[in-house]
Amino acid sequence: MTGATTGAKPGATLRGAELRAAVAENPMAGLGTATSHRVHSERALGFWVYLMSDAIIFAVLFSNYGVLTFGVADGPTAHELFSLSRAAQETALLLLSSLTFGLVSYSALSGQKGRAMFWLIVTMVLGAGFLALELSEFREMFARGAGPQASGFLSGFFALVGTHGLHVAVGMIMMAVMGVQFVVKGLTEPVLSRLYRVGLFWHFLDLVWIGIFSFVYLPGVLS
Amino acid sequence: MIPPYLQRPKLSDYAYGFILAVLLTVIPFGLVAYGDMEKVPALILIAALAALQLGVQLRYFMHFSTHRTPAEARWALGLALLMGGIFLGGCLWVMIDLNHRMMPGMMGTGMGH
Repeated sequence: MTGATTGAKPGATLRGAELRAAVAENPMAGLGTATSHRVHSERALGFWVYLMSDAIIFAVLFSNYGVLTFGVADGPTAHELFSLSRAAQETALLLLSSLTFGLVSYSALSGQKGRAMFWLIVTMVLGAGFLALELSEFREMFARGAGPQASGFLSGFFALVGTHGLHVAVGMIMMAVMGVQFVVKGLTEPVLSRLYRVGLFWHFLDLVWIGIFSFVYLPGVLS
Repeated sequence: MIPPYLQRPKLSDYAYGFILAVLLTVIPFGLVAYGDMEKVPALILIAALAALQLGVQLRYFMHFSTHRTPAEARWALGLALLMGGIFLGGCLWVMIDLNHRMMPGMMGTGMGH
């Protein structure tokens, strides 16, 4: 066996025909070195671990909402407060934005900076639309005295949906930073590594939203 | 071995994922808007479709697979699912059990009067 002592590790940068074949399928595969690959792969793993611990936080918030959902006190009920059409619009915006973020990743990993920028802006517009709808919903609820202090049900609702909304707002900041880095740094290895993690984060928020429309809005309208 | 963040995802993955996600979203919304199912079976169906869509989006949008996702991340997902299951299942169990115990009293049949 050779190679083990020369410092070349499995996963080292590809060469020659192997590299050309890989680049045809993955145009950005030539970036970086074995060492930088290891560093950024560790960051990807770390981000997965963060996302899964965030998923546990959301599981707790879902459980909390489940326990409090019948604690309406004398306040308004879910059936009175929730609008099925607004929940559908929010769902459509977030699902579409998950698809367009996929197109950001695809374009960036094809080396097409302009297209990646275009889809990033589309994704941010869709995300902003989602936040605007959610804020208008919250504002209406506050206006009719249905804030988090009104009942256990509403405390659980704002804790869960508000935390998700905060995540979306943070995701918007992350995307703005990515947009700036596309322009300033271009499609370098660290930028693509960051884009991968922001993408995971954004797709994850759509995953959480599936839980929110399935366990909060639909049962609320049904009740 | 190309690291995952430099692997270009397939456009077909996003297409499949999006079509399946739309279907799995339209069905539960349609059920609530136009369906006339009993409440409990409807809620169970909505939960099942949500679980299915979770899998679809993990697979097609987040590219969760054995060759793109580190093994440790798969363990982290397993742990999150296990803990989420314990939280949600445990809460549901306790609340339904509590409901059963409270119901007779609330109906005015179980209390000594």
